[in-house]
Amino acid sequence: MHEPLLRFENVVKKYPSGTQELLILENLNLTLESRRSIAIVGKSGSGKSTLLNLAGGLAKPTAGRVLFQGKDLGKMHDRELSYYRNRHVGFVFQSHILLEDFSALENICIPALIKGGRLKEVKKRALELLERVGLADRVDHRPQKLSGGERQRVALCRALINQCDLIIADEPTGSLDEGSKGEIEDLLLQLVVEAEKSLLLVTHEKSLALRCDTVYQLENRGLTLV
Amino acid sequence: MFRTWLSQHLLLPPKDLVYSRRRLVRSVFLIALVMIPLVLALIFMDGMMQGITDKYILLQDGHLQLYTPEDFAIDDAAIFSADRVVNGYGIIYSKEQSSEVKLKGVKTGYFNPKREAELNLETTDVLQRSSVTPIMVSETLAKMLNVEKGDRVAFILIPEEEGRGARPLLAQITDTYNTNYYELDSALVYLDYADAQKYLPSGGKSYLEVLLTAKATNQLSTVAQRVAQGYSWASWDQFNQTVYHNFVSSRQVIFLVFLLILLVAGVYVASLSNELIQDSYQSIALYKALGAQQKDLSCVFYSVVMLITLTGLVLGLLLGILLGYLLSPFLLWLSKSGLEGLRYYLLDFNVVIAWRDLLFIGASMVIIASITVGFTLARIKKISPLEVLQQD
Amino acid sequence: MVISKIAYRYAFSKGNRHRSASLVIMVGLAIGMAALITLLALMNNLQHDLLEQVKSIESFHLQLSVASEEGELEAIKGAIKATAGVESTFAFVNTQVMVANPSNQNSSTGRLRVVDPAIWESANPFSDHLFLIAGNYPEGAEEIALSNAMAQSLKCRVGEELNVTLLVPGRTAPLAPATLKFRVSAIYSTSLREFDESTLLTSSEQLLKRLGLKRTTFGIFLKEGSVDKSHNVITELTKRVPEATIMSWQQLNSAFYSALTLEKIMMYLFLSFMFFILGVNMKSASSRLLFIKQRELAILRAIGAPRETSLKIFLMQSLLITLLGLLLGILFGWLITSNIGGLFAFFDSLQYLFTHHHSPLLSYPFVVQLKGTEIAIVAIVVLILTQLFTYFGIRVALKREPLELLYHA
Repeated sequence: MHEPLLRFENVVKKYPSGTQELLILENLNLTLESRRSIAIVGKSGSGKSTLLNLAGGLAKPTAGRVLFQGKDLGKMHDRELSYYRNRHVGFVFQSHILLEDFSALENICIPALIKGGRLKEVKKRALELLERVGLADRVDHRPQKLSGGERQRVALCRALINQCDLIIADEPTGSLDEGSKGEIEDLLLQLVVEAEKSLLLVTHEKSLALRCDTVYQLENRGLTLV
Repeated sequence: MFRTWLSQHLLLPPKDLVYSRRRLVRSVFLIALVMIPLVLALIFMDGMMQGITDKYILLQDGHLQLYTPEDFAIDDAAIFSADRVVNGYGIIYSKEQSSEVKLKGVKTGYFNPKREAELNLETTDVLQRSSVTPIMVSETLAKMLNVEKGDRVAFILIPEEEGRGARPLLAQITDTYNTNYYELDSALVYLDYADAQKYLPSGGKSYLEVLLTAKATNQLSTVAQRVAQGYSWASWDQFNQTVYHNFVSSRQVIFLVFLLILLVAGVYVASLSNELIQDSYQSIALYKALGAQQKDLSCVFYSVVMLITLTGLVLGLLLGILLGYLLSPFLLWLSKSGLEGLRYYLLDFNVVIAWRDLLFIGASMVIIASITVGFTLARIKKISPLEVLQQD
Repeated sequence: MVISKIAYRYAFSKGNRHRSASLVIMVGLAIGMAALITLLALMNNLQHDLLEQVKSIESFHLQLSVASEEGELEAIKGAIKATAGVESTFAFVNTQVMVANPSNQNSSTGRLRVVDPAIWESANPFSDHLFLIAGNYPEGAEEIALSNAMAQSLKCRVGEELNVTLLVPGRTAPLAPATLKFRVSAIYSTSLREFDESTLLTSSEQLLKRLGLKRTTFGIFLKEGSVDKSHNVITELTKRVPEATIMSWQQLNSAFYSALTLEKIMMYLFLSFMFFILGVNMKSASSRLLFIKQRELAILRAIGAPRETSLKIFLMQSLLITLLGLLLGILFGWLITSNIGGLFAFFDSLQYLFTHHHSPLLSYPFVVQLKGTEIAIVAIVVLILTQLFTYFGIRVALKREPLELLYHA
């Protein structure tokens, strides 16, 4: 039986807020196939990032299931989730969050080293990625010396180093200027297509959303196809 | 105004800055914690040294010994008491043990209140006549000889005449004393002056044992020359040079250890300064962007850190002195646990606070802290106003 | 490997603003370790020297005391000598005496040690530590050796006669004084002040008989490897001479040994304060760094690092700082102790400029003794301490899952 790459089944997510519980998602269903891209749009505070966190195994649903290749993420314990995030998922966050004490090259290598790759091979792959994103001359530069756009490109490379199945991008161009936004949008989509990955993207940018295979609007705690 | 405002802000952070408040309290207590054992060690050393010195002076040697004739009269404002005594030595023995001892012949009135307190005597009416020579021995010596008050012992003394054999002198232990200092207790035996003159060879060594008033103890040789009136004399430190020098050397070693501990405490103060500057990184950049001078900022941080250090220092000194009063009772309690090694130390001592030495330790801490903090202040210089635009 | 790399960067990376905290702690550890090594090396040697003197001159390594008839003594001596670990044995007796110089009436109390004359004939710790200033070892029945200190107090020279009064079994009383004449055959000196101030030496067998002691004591010197493991020798001796009472030098000098041990413990306690301060330093530095690096740690979790990664990074960081600090400290300590004489001479000349007196402490010809095991134990304890402090500094923060920072993005 064919299993989609990622599937949300009647997912409910609540967060504790003082003595009450805040309902963020309610009976949410979503399916993402391999080599497909989905964009989620919605107002601020609608729960878009929560959806991504559930997809990335950063949080567990209050009810319902999130299945990756048929396996329930909610039933995995911490080690399995770490394995999942390392081997199958690449994250691209709005604020890129690079390790300040490491160079661009080293930041990219880290997930691969966690996976257990050999340093020489890992470095080679990282260099290739840096060249691909046009930062071959910034190999040894630390994040402080890179612009916002350059840092986001490094974050993109980091997401791709382990040849994961799914890229999860949370407002990847949210903190960039207009000039850099377009660049990063193009780069993200190109890389995803080249590498034949799936993409789950949250964005305010309509132009970026429309470039994905499917666009959903997250409102009233559920998804509506746009 | 800016300096005062900023210093106040750093020294008294708002209530919601829990971490900053805790850091201040932690730093003060840590510095105080460093000072406490230093103060206790000093009190112990000085108290013990003073106590031992006092015991030797009061009970064995006096402040001065004047080698004057029997009828020599003495009257001087610097003199607390002058007692004629006679010294000698012999071997005391019981059925089971023997020991070499120092014999001290004293007259009625020798055991003044000061001596009485040191010897822990029940009464000054000691050495009451009995059928044999009355003597007073320490509880330590009595235990060693396996005898008690009321028991008889014998002495061997040097024969008076060449060729004449030594005869044992029978004596009765009419009283016992306890100075709580083993070194003294184990060898000192008191007997009546007349008996000592009678039995010691050549009547023993007779001299005037002089105790000085508290004020006069610093003018030993001046007073001695004045009261001796040409007769020869000796002072207590000449008899106990080895003990005195050992203490001086031990003190020097302890001070060396103190300095090393203070050095490490200075490293801690540097960390504290570092931390304060680090936490204020953005603020310092902003102040500079708004026109604050380098020297103002350096002055503020230096003052804040030194004030914290001084507070900890003073607190430590006060707590150390307070605990110092409990030290002697604690050590006495510890000695009853059976730690043999403690017998080499005088554990029953008065608290002596050497303010000069405490001042020296305090000043050393301040100097070391000043130097280490000075190094960290160089960081302030490196903070550019442009940093205000960056995030950590 | 990733963890080590991250830990190293957090500790020492040049661009890292928090590097100075690591360096300060490292320097503090180095100072503390160097100080500990130097002071312990000095103390070890002083104590070792002192104990060596005491063992060699005063108490021997072991004393075996036995009540026996004269005929059995040779057999007992043979049994002792045949015991593994025993180097040599000499019978001896101590008795209290009064000594007078008849030529000038100077007198003193003292202790007369009657010792087996064989002690002078062979190389052993006693004869090795005793230096003859004048004369020859006492071998005759009426010969006595006097310490230099006693000779000065009695104002006598080699060849002069002394009256020695001591206690012997009496005809009617258990003990009675007897005065005997001895000729001073030698003046000696040792490094043990207490021994010198009160001890006269003789090998007179007639005196031994006169003393009529019911018990004989054998002083035993052990072979080099057995001195500090004397319990094995004692066990063996007990089997060979079951009726004997055997005491080790530690038991014989228990109060003194206990005092030395106490002093060493006090020194350790004092110096441990330094490491306590540094530990607290490390605790607060770790907790601060964790707070600052929370976001980075969150991303590490997001890219697949397991939960315990944060803990490992910080413990590794603390380990690196501590190891480097300790190694530096050991190096400095070794350098200082190797040049201690020169250093003290320098400080002495410095203080001389102000005081115009040479300091007896700084002028003392110190020799140092570094004990590798002691240093290793201290280093391990410090290592464990710093790790514990680091753990306590970060455990509260670690309970909070850094992923939470990414939940509510």
